[in-house]
Amino acid sequence: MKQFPYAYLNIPEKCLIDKRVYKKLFFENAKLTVTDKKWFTKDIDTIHWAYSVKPSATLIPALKEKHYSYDEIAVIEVELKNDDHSKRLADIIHRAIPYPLLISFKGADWVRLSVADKRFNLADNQAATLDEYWVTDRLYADAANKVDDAFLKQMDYDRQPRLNVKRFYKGWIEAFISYNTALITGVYSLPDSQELKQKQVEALNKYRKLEQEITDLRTKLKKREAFNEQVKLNVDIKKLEKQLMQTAKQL
Amino acid sequence: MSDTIPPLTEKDGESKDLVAENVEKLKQLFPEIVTDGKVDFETLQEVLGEFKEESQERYSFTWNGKSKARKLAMTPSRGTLRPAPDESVNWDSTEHLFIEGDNLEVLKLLQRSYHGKVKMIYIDPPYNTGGDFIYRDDYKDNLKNYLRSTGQVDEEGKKLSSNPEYNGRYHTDWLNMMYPRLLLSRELLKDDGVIFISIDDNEVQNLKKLCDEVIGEDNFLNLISVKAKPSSGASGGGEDKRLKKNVEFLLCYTKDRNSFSKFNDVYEERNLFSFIEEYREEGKSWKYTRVLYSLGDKSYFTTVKDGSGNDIKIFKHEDVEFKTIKELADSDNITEEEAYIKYFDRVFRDTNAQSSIRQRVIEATDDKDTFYSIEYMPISGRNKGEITTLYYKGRNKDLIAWLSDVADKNNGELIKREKLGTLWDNFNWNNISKEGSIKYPNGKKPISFIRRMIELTSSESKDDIILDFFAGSGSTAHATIDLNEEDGGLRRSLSIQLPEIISKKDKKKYYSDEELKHIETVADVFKERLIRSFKKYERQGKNLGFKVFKLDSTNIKPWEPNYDNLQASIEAVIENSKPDRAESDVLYEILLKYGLDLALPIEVKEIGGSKVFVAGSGALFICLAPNIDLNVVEGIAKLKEELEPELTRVVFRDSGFKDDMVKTNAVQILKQHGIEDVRSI
Repeated sequence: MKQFPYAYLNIPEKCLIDKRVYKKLFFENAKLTVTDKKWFTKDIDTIHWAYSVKPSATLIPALKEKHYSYDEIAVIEVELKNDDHSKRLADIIHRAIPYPLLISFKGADWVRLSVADKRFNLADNQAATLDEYWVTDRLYADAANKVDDAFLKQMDYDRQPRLNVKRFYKGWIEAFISYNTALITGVYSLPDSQELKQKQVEALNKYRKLEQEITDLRTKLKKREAFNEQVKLNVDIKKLEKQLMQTAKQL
Repeated sequence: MSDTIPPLTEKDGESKDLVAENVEKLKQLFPEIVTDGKVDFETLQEVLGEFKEESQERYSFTWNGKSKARKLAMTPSRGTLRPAPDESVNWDSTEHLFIEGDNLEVLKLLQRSYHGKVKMIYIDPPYNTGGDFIYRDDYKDNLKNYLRSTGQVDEEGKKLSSNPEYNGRYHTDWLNMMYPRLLLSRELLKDDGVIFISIDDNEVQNLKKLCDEVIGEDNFLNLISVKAKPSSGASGGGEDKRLKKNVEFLLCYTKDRNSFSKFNDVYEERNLFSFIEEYREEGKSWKYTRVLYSLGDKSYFTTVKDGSGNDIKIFKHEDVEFKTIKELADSDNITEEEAYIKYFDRVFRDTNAQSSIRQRVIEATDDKDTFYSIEYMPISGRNKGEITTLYYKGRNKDLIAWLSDVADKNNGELIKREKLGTLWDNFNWNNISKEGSIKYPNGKKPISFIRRMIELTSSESKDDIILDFFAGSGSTAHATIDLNEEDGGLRRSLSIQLPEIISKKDKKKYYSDEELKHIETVADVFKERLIRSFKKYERQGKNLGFKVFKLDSTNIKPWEPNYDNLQASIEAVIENSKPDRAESDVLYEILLKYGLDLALPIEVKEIGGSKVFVAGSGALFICLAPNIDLNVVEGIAKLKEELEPELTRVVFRDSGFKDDMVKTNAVQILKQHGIEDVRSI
């Protein structure tokens, strides 16, 4: 497929599947709440299994580990009617399918991509446990944004390690982490050494944590009525904001 | 929001009204008893019916003057705290506070800002031994009394009113002094906060009763006995007839037993060898003298069950070797101490303590001189839930107890650790006069003593506020800083001390050196001591210091009409701050009124030609300058937008505007920039 974003992804034609996936499958197999089902039905138009990056087509070997086996990577395309709950939908879909996934949420002239770090839930053979997952902002086909363009170029099939399926997928995850960092710094850069990559992840996590702390304090402040308590919270928030800026410099 | 600036009222010149708060609290609990802002005691009686104490005789603790003393605590203060940056150290960055003044008035002024914020209080009040200075509160106007009396003292150092034992109301006066101060300081404690009070046998009983009343009997934690330096100066007064006192007490309460979880684990540590020496000197037999040199060959023997049905695996050991420390020292050609260190992990003693496990081992094995080990999982005690190995030896299957269970090896030194109990007897009282490099005739407490209290109550975040309102020479502040240095904590000390004038006699004796000549009051000793102690500390940087504040009358002139010259009185009110007060004095009074921390970050900016204080990272703008024009107002609005605070309040002087038109427009301009909270003083 040469349409956006597949031109960037550059996945070999041998991997093309292009089969319709019915929402019913999710209702039956995934644990959905009432709200989840509502959004799934209302927000999603259709779901397609676009590609399967697997050994027989790519010659990239599978990898079996104690808790998880990386047999293949599925690229799933989700056509959206409504973009309000995409993050939650990504969560549901990643959990429901026990393979590493690249989800492409499709809007009119944009997509959102999503990957996830997950483990097989040992207790429940069908479900996967999500450690962390990422969803990009809307990426526009004309990719005027420098960061988006750099990110999409990094997602190219040819740029990922070919040692095994797990390492390949990890390559995509690293591209996502650099994308998230770039959202803060404005510059897309992929650290080349393992050490720098680790530092980038740590700084990013610290940044997110500080952001969350600041949000929590803001909520607290709105609830408080006493002036003196509000002032104290303001001072604390400002201190954290300063730390946030310093962390951003590290990214 | 209104378009005018709400003016200051007389009530604003007062500190927190505790009585009104109590009524409010009652209203929340029993809405039916508060009608029209007044408490209906008959209805209250009905609500609490069966708890009413009916009889005339009752279990209560009372004394002459008690109600007056309580009332004194409830009367709001008409004072304020004036900043003294010139007498402070690192004014801009430190969060330690030192307040000079009568602690009663100061405690009132701190109510709004520090209510429920203090984690630990330590005080070393007068023990009421007969020669102490008992500061006499004046019920009519305590503040005036303070201002007047801190100037007066006689040659011999007999302060304004000492409390000699032959004073008929000897205990009463002491109680009237302590009662209101305890009432007020209790309000400042966090719910899980703890108060420690040093006292000796003169008043320990009354103090306990007082605390039971003020803090609540349920909240009593411990009465600790402290081995002190034997009391000196026992001439006359019948002291030679009695034994020399070498014990005093530390009374300890928490604010709310339900919120207080427990004391932190603190251990008394001493060098093991000096412990052993003392042990032997006391004629006791030190038993940890053998080493389990080799466990020999281990083989599985059998499995039995414990009381809960869980397995106890038993193993037999052949060719086990024991040696004494002495033997090993000789054969290795080292001293016994070195042998202890070398074989530390294997030093043991036997015990024949009875236990059900031991019983089962005895039953399962034999009564010959053999050696067995067991593996099991205890369901209680120190090793609960973990697989534990125990060893049994000899015909009686005595349990092996390891030295390493009661001692530690730390940096090559062997330390005996004991969990702290209620006898504190290993402080060194002999060198305290040297502590802080300055002498203090009224008795210092060793900082290790106070440090222990802080360790017992320290929160995990190590950022507690520690209050001492009988600060003396500053041992509590010193101890706080000392502990911060060691564990990287950010604890804040809050010290209050009356600037008692030091007698000529003491001044000549202790403070006649060139560097000490400036010392006139006890407060001066505090400051000098801390400054000298700072030299030792490196980690704390700009946090090391103290901000000095002084108790004084309110900056805001109360309405005190002079009916003979009403015109002048009215004009005086228009200019409503006292003329000799600086803007920074008024600034801090405003901070106290708003219940803000005295160490709040404050920046001084010049905006439109006028001085503006920016407090709390942009949450509060205070401009006390005269002749403010719209440039200043615009400037403030602009600065607010740069700083982006979560909330903003702006305070002006009522008479500070250039003219009425500016005043009206000011409110509008600020409103346009999202600032609705505008006040005037």
